[in-house]
Amino acid sequence: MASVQYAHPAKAPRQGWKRYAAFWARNEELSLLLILAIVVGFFLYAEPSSRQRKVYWDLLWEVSPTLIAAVGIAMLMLAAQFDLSIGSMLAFTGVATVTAMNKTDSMWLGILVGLATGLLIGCLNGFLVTYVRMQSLMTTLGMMFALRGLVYTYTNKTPVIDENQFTQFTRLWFGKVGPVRTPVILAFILIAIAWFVLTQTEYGRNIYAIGGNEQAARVSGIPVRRILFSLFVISSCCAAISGLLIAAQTDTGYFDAGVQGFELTVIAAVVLGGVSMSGGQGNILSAALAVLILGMIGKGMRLMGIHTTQQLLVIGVVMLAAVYFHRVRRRWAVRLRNEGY
Amino acid sequence: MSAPPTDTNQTPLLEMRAISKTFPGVVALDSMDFVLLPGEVHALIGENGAGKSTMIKIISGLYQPDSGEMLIDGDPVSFRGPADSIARRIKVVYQELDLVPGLSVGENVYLGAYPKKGGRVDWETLYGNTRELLDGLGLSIDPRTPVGELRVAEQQLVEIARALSQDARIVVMDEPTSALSTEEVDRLFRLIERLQERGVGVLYVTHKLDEIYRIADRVTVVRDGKHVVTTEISKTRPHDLVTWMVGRELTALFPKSTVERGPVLLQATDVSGEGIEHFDLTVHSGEIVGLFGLLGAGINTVARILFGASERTGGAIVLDGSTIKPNSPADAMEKGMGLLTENRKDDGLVLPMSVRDNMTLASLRQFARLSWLDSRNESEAATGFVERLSIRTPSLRQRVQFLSGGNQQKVLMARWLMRDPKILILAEPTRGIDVGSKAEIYRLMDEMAQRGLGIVFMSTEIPEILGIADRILVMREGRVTAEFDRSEATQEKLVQAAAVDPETSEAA
Repeated sequence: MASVQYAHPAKAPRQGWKRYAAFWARNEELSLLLILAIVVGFFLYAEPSSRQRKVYWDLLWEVSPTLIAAVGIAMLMLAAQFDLSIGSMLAFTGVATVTAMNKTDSMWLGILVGLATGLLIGCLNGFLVTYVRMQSLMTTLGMMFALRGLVYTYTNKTPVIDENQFTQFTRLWFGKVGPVRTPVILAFILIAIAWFVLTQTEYGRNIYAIGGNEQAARVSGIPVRRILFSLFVISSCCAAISGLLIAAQTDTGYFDAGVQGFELTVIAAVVLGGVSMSGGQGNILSAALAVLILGMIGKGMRLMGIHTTQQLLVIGVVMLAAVYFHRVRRRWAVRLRNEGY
Repeated sequence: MSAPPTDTNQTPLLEMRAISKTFPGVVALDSMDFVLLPGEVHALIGENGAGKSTMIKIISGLYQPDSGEMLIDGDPVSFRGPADSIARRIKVVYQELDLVPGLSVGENVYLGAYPKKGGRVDWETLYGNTRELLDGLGLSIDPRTPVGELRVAEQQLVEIARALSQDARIVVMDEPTSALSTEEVDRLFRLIERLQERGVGVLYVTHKLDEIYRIADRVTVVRDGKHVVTTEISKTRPHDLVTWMVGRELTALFPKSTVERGPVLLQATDVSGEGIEHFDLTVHSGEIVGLFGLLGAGINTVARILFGASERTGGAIVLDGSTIKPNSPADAMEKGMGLLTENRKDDGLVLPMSVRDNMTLASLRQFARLSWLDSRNESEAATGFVERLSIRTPSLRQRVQFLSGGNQQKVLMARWLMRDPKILILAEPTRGIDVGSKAEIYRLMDEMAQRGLGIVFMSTEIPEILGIADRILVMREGRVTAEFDRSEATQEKLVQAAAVDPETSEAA
């Protein structure tokens, strides 16, 4: 063959609006950015107190633990696996950290122990799922109950307070670099790393391949087990970092941290961000945008003084709408491609 | 060519007059004429993308034609949906099974039309009737077995039983034999004959020309959405059919060049595992070794064991002097082996990934610098293979799921060729793809052999194994029952060795 045969469907007369529609439908990040703009725009219009810069810096600050956890979950879900234990991880890490700080009178040892909990639980999850071949949803659900139970038993449902009152430790949450809070910087660094790994490296490509077709990946010589194992560790470690941040907020290891469906919020955001529940499709930036959207809705309503019970209702409805919108977008993407746009 | 011959004595069951269907950008059917008579088996053939499936979908009511007329029993009809088509007693047996795995055979057969007594499902009738149907098919399946527990071939027969239960007058079968064993094909054909006797018209879509000669009365060839020819099967030769389908003389379907046999590349001795026993194989450089067997003979299992994707319990495999570890595809690849699995979609393609990413999947290391992928390099390599294998795709970024079967298969071939292997194992590489693509794959195999590659080629189809292999091993129930040189192999010998129990009679 002399040249590449690219089979182009016959060109239909292209209508302008469809070309734009196809552009938007194809680009997940753009559609989500649009939604974020709409949400922000709405609150700017409806709530005068939202018209100040501080609100948005605070938003980033508040959602940073969620963002960080979402990085791990998104990577895991791209490989078609789940981790439901991250909510309990927040409490486990926090309690373990502060307890260790009290026992050793060393902040750094405490933080080290906190990070080690991530490594430990991640390895345990990874081992059970990839080597014992237990199903990830149920395994991590079991881990979720077990960890929470462990924390309750150990703390007797009383918060573990930092006896040394390490102010250094609270700076993990309250610290600033210029106008930006430390957790925000941390979150963005992690997102950037995840983006780089997922799009630019062999490891990242392998994650997509495993999520898209695990058998095919295996037959192509990809070390499937090792990669899945590592993803559970990453997910747990991200959750541990979130747990540290939350503990630093109050300088306390709180037994009920993340108890109100933290893991589900993160999973919901990641899925809203276009990461397929069956793996292999999606990207980290969209997932992060979706976290911001959900965070903004919550924050906006708090500014407007809407009661928490009603907030829950609104968030639920918005989520349903978002899933619907997502579905429509996908359908348009396919349809417009078939039409040759 | 000419308009289909219209038999003036009979009202056609189904008639299509100048049916066109355009999808924005693509003309799927272009003024298609077609006539199905009562009691005939009418084969419909054409390459992938020729318009066969569009035709089926119009008949089944899934698509509405843009123009033209469709008549059932001489009445013009316009189907708004599948329900209208079913109401005219048309039954389509799709290639992808639409059975519910968790439900029993009987429940599936009567899905959507359960026999009822006083508002409750009449289980006795349901299972009784199913039993009768299955008996008629010569199937000894318990109607209460969940469908998910059946083998694919059995599931396909259940699907056909379902067609019968609905007392259809027009039955459309889309490649019904793709997963059936020879015996099961025989059963299916007896069944089709029974349908014929009842005056049912059968539209039979297939890629297998030998089947057409066994079962069909007439054949219609489509190409590029157009009607090419309709003729009685007794008046054509296979060669004509292929020429009509492809639209050009396929001078050589099997471009077999003589290649000097090189040194031994692959040596498998006394390999066993998963129903395979005492398997020996020697492959030389430049040689194509065919492994023939009927469904269930274990040829594909052998492919997986050789590559390490299925468990090897015994024996040794040596590739170009180095021993391959069992159960490690990574080791087999490292030492120069590649495997094209028999199920493109199950364990070959990563459907949501792009053409390029699918191609480079097994050789990412070679594009990575400190794990950082050089995507320009990747694209260049992929473009090279798109050209060399003449893969038809709008771009490298196209998702592989939107390619035709033949092109998908070529993408997978590229995946392995990119690694520059010494031994390539191809498990049924032409399954379910059209003649044109088949010819290209044979050409590629030949070309690779000329470059000194050793090829192991698993197939359940005799013509291709006779056409392309230098040496043929025949398997039956996990054992090699015969070995033939290219010059001495014949269809009869292969069938004999593949089908006859060597215990009861001495195989050739």
